[in-house]
Amino acid sequence: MSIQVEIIKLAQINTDKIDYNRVIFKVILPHRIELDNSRMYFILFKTLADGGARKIIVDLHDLDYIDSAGIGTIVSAAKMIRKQGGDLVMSSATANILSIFKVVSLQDFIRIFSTDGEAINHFHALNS
Amino acid sequence: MEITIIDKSALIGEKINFNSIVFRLHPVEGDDKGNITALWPLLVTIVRGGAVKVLLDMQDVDFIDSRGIGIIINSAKHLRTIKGDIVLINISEKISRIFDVLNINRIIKVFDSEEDAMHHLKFI
Repeated sequence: MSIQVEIIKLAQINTDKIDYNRVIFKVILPHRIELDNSRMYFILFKTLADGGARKIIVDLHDLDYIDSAGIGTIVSAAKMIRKQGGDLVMSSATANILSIFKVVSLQDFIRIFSTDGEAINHFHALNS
Repeated sequence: MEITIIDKSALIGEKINFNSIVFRLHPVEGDDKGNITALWPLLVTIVRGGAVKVLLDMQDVDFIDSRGIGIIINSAKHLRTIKGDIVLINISEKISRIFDVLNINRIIKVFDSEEDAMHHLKFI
């Protein structure tokens, strides 16, 4: 099973010296994220954070099931990225997923935007 | 971009053993129409973030420029110092010809099958 990742450039990227304030890594979660597959996402988030990434959007439009391992993975990813001075936000959650997040008050810890466009604008505004 | 993380360690929790992980990167259609410029920041970041073994599936890539080749070579140089490598599979005829002209095959390992590539990465 593979992870879908997109790169959103807020400016032209010079690959010799990447300005991580101007690169957004968008990670699209699958239909289900649970104990079995959450480790793969943890490894990816950890590698991106250690590699310098500062802006991550977790796109939830496909997600219809998440368990505590999945939520734990997103929370630790947000902590890792904030330690680097960056931030992780989420976008496009379904009503069902939002109601799960509400139970654990995840929206108080991680910002949730209704579309990925709004999430991109949020990061864009931080730069200017 | 599709990334597959193949982890054969039995580690759980926050420990990661990068020697037992292959990052399989597959640029897909939609990533700049077969041009892989979107790949480079991702590859550079993953390598900087600790990856040791990287496999690039070039199946849907039909264009590569000197900067891309430079990034692959730099990644290979760095990864080899930590006993890892970056290998390519499924390269198109067009890219194969470019690689021939530049003698890239002497520096970068290109494999016909994923099995051979994984074998080179000491993974199977």
